[in-house]
Amino acid sequence: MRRREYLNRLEALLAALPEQERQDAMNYYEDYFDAAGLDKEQQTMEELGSPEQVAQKILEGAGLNAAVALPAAGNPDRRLFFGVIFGVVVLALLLLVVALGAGLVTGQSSGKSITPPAAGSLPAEPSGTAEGPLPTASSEPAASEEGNGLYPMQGQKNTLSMEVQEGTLIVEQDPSLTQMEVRTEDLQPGRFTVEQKTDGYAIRYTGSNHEEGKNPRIEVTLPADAGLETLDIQMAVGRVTLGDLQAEDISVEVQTGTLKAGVLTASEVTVDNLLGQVDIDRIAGAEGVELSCEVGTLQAELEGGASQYAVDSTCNTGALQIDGQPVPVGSYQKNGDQPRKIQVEIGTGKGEITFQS
Amino acid sequence: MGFTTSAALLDGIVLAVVSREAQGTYGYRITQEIKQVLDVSESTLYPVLRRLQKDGCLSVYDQPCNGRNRRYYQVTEKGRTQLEECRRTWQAYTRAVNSLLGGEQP
Repeated sequence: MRRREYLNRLEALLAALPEQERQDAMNYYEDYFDAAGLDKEQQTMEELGSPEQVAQKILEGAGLNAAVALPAAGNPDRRLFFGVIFGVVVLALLLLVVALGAGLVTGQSSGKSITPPAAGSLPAEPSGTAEGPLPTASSEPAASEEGNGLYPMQGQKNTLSMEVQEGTLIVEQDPSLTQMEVRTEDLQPGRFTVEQKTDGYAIRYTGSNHEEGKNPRIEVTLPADAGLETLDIQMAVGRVTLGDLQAEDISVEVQTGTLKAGVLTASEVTVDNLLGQVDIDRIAGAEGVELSCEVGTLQAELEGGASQYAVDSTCNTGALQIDGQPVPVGSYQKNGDQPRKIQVEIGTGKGEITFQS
Repeated sequence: MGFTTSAALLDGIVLAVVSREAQGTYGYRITQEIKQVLDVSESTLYPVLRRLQKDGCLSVYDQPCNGRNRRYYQVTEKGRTQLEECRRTWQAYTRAVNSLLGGEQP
């Protein structure tokens, strides 16, 4: 177990704590590992004891009755049991697909559907990946949210598409992971799928329970060598937070809501926002950038200097600044001979494009 | 054979260790300092810090360190009073135990 897995497991075990307290505890142990130093990760984990032991202490301290199950690591009966359950679910799904005239599976028909387990059961093991380790969550009482688990990434030309009706979507990359990790919270049951394609995954959430006071949240953490060719995110209403991510092609569409991104490294970056706020720390390595914001604000920094980019902008009644200079309303072009292209469209909102140097 | 460190005693020990640093100190360091002297399990200290913080004996602040915030703990006025109280109790207790167990002549 690595630090990240250790902490993820601890966090899952603390599910019973109020958000703030859980966050405090997680910050403490993140700090703790940081202070111990990278070379002492293993030793620190040994000294702290298992995540179950740590969680038990925290829960007791918070006055909660700590009923933390000790791990039944690699229990073969358990694997078999969930294997059977999984088989039954897949079979039922196949029948359903046949019954509906295969209309359910969009996109590649060769894609396998990974059925999210029902609430209260355990994470689905992605099919056809028997060589991958089981999700470490296999005995986690707290990991009952659907879709939670680890999904292996194969090959170097993966496509990851995410379509979210509403909620918060967080996509990050973590060098210590070897598989994609999905975690969900507060989702409307039965509306979340992680579908395995021949070249990646399609993650979809079609729920809409925001009005019930729920805060649906999907967190996807990618391994460092995810080998992404395409990362395609579509959010209807909500918030998208991206860490530092790399792919050949990154495309994000947020109809209503906010997009916050760290450093996006890709040769093509497309961001489309109808109403809301877009904030991108930096776009690096891009040959082509397309940013559009109809109503709202857009702010992005591009790698390199302004003179390296051919600019093609359209600004209707809004305001657009590129490299500190206001851009005339209407259609505007500059540096047409540069190989790197940036295309900006601003409706009635405000846009600001800055450059690293 | 060992003696268990009671919760009240652990509170006092943590307060004493934190109070040594005027600028405050952080979880890992507190743990290491206590561990050099006493055999306590690493995972017992977070609940203690959390409780002392809740009771107003410790205050916290975050300070950036290597790209993220590190949480520092400082003893408050209330914490100081409690530490003094704990010291008095402990001294009275050790005197009493020593008089019976320590082989000292009364």
